[in-house]
Amino acid sequence: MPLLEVDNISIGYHTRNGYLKAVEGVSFVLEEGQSLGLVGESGCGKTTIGMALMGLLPPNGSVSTGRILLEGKNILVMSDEEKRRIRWRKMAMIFQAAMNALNPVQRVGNQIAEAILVHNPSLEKEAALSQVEGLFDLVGIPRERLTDYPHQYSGGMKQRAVIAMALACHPKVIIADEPTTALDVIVQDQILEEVRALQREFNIGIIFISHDISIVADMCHEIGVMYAGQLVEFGPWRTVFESPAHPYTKALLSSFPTLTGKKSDLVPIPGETPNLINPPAGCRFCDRCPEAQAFCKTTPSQWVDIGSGHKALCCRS
Amino acid sequence: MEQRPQRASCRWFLVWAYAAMLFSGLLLAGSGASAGETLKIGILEEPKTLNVWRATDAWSNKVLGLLYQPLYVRDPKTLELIPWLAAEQPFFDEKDLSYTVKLRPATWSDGTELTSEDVAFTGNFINEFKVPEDYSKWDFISKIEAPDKHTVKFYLKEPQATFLTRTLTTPIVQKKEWVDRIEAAKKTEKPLGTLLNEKIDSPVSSGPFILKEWREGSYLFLQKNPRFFGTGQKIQGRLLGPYIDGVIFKLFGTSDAAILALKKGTIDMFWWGVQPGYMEDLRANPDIELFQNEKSSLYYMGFNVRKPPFNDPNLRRAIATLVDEDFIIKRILQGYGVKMHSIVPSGNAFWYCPDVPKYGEGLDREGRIKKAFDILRQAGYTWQTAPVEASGKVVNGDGIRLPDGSPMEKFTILTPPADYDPHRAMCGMMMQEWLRMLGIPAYSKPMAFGALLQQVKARHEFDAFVLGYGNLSLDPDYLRNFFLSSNDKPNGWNMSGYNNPEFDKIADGSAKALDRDKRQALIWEMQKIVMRDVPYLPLYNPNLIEAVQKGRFTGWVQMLGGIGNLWTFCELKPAK
Amino acid sequence: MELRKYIGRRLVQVVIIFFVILTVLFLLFRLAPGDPVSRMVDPDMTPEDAHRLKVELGLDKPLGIQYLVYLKNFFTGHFGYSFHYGEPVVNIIWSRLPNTVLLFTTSIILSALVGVFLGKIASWHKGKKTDSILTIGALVTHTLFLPWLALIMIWLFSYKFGWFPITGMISEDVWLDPDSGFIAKSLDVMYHMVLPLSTLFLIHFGAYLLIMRSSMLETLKEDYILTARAKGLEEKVIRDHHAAPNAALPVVTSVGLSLAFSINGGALTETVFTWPGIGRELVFSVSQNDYPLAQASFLLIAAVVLVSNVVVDVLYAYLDPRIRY
Repeated sequence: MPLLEVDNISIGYHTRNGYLKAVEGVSFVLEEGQSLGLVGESGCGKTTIGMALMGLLPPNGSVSTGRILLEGKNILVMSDEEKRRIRWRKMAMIFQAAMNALNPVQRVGNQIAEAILVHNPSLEKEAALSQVEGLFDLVGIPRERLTDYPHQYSGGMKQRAVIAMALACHPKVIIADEPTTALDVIVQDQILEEVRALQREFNIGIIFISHDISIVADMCHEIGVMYAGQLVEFGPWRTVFESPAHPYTKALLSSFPTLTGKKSDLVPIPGETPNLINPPAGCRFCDRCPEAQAFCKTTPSQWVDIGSGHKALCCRS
Repeated sequence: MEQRPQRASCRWFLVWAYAAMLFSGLLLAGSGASAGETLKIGILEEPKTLNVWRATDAWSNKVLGLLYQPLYVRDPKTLELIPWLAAEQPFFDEKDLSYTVKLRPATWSDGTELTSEDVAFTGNFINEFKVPEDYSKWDFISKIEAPDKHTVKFYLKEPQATFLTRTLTTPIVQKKEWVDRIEAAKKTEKPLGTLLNEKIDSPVSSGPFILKEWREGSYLFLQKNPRFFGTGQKIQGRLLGPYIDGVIFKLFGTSDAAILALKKGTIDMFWWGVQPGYMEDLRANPDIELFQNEKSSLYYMGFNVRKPPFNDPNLRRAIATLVDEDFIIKRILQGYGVKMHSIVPSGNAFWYCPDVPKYGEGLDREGRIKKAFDILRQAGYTWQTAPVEASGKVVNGDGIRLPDGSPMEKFTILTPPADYDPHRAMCGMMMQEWLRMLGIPAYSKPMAFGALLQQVKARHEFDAFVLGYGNLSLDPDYLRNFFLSSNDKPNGWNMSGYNNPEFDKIADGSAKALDRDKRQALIWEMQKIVMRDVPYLPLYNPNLIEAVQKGRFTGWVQMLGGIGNLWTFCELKPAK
Repeated sequence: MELRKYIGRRLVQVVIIFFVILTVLFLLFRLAPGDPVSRMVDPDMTPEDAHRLKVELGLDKPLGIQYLVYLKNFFTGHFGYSFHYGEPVVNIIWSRLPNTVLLFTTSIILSALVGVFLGKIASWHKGKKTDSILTIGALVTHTLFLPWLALIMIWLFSYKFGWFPITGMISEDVWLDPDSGFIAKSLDVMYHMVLPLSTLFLIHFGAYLLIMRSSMLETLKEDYILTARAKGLEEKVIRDHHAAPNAALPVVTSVGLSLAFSINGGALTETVFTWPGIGRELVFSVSQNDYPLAQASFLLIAAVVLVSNVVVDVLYAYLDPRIRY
């Protein structure tokens, strides 16, 4: 039984302009101790998937079809209370620290201890705080910073604190949403290194969400490339990198000269992503696709299995 | 993480505790006196002071009137002067211009005897310190003697008609209470100022009540004076008490609240005029008794006779003709008032001259316009569009020109603002409308009271104004003050700038006329002159309507100026 | 250290501004038309009397000298004598101020606490019935005309039902009774305070509710709320421990300044309820050209407002650890 199985989920938002299909028919599987990267431009639906996994979709968003099986149990059919209980204990999230993931008016230690206490109500606060100290040791924050407020931390420390918070209840799955985006390159490397080490140590399954394909490649066993709400290519990272099947993946990769070379943001691909309220009937990338042909526009694209777990959503592959 | 909200509420608690501390400080002072059968009176403003020399406001004087007593007071019916602290009418010696006054046995509230020393002291003090408001009543006295404990002799520099009515109605203070204060004040830079700033917490008084407790901002409690000289005495056929144990003056911020309190029975009397708006409700209330009395007051329009257009008496007479007093009484005062024909209110019967010119009396709207038009036309005024056509039809006049041919400039009638006095503001508006019918370019302009006085009284920069005196002295000497040419100066009483040597002569004579009947003739003559020339145009005299609880007390004494008088407080009895 | 420096700098600013206000006040009152003596229209007062009185009040002196006297009075803490009461201004202010503070401070704290609480609830139920009822209720009560509401309250609860005294702060029956002790008198004051307090509360809590509600809605969009939810916290905990303390910060500023201004009371409230506070005195002293009293009252307000601005800033730093000076 896989740790986490996402089976053909579609997610939509009710907006003022209509029903927005943010994610459509995405499936993937995450095994224990493995890591899976979701990569794509902003607005492609990768964060929506992360939120859906955590059960934190905003009130106007919902999962319309599909299942999310965590250790074989569909969390989509759980009650709110059940969901609340498994949150953080089974599945935690590393937020982007540059955004206010930490409450500015509460001490960092208390915020982490709070996560422990809520899932272990019998624990004393002191015991929880000493656990937090252990977590701080783990992520490399000096213990005396426990009573500081978030604004007293540097960016890297905040990120470490967020990681410590995610580890607080020893979850099986961690969803890391752009965990290093706002950090400078050196700190970014340190943090990623730590995450990798912790993952190995605690045998955690990680879903790594990023717009930066090189980071994802660094971190993950498998990569899913998303475009306009759909998964367009999926496979082991090396295969995807070495022989990308989807024109979008190719375009993404072309913006990185080498795997280990200078990292930079995606070079924008000409054109715009399609409107997800009325998505086109055919391939969603065809308007921007250098290899597009006439039928791409009208025929819904199909999964093409390229072998050894590598597949792409493109009729031309 | 639970610390924060707690810390915040801890803050609130501190602030509140601070407020509570202030509050408890407030309560530290205690008191002790039982109320008994007391009369509770609603008042609208707190007395400013119980320092009798500083008090200028109506509210201080209401309280002080029950404490400090004069030698003579007015009979409620005849308004004649009758002996009060004095034992009998004063004896006048023409040879040395002296008045001798015999005193009644009386005691101060501290138990000491009230003697001629105290009377002499009061007069000498006023003259020495030139106490404002009182000095003009005493400055003509050259010497005061106290030959024995119960006799006072006043020597006058010149005959003065107001000696009896104004000088001898001054409240008398105790020498013992003031003498040390005066000595101390003399050593300061500003002796008068020091005395006026003296705070009097427990006045030594001689009236029917004594001050027991003053809780500032809330109430004053006056207790029956067991040593009151009048108790058990029959004065003017009235057997004096007081028959009640005390009086409580209770402060109310608004008339609304005071009247609710009266209806509810929280207070027994509301010592202020009830506005016509409340009348219907109060009249229908079986628990309320209403008293309607004339006031000694004057509400009038004044003209600046120093400059055109109002330097022409014909124009002033025409305006007097136009003013419909019946309308003012009926509509603006809603029937609660009397017409004013002279500067002296008709209620002051002895001095009021009934035989003055009554402009436009008995005429209707059209008749008034026609008559005013005639007055102006004969005086040489011309119009582009005459207000009365040859056929006798009345139209709206326009383009009025003065007798010299120049157009009449726009002018303003200054009035107090409506929130200060709606009646006066409304009168200004009506005057404007009436004058415009005749083509006279009048503009009514409400102005803040302080600014209005500055313009009219200090600077004389105005055309016309509407003002009033709510509490005019019963002695008509003001008639002289208002129109004496020598009073036409900045801040002087002759605000109109009226200048008539004939009037001045008669007025000076009236001030020196010691014979009441002779003085009456002069005062009447003065009224005739003033109403002939109309520098002031009397508009109305509102009635005073006062409301009390029915059945709680009996013996209210009605007189000019209402039931809130010394007699009421001496004669009021709890109802059985 | 930083904070101490900051406070020091702010206090210097406060002193400078205070002296500007001191001077402007002096000029404003002198430039306004009318003077305290010419208002005394009693025909018994001759122009000579009036002049003498002016001399006694020091109003005959040139403005420069009057200003120096004013400064001297200020620095000696004396503030002069009220023209109308003939009492030291300080005495008048000290006898009235505690009453105002008692009523208005209590009302502001009460309305802030309740407003914050209800605002929190309204924002939590955004768009639902509870929210609509609370928001509309707050808007309606907040826009009511205070004297009107006050009269309605008095008429209904004092006159019709007879539950409360009609107006005033104390009742003479209790205070003149020698048997009444401290407790009885305190209870009497509290009893008299119910109606004015309720009226002020009704008028003011809406403002705090609305501030809190909108601030709370903003806060709920913050990422740390998402974090809190992700951690599996209960909704009530998220609302009360994560959102509310952050959202209440703007209310602190508002409350701080209201508290400062509360010392001038509300002339209208004090008049309608016959509350012997400083607000009525202030209005009265201005209308009567009682310069010393009016000046001192305004200076007091200015001082309190200026100082409480500093206090609010410092308090803010205390409540919000992000702010450092």
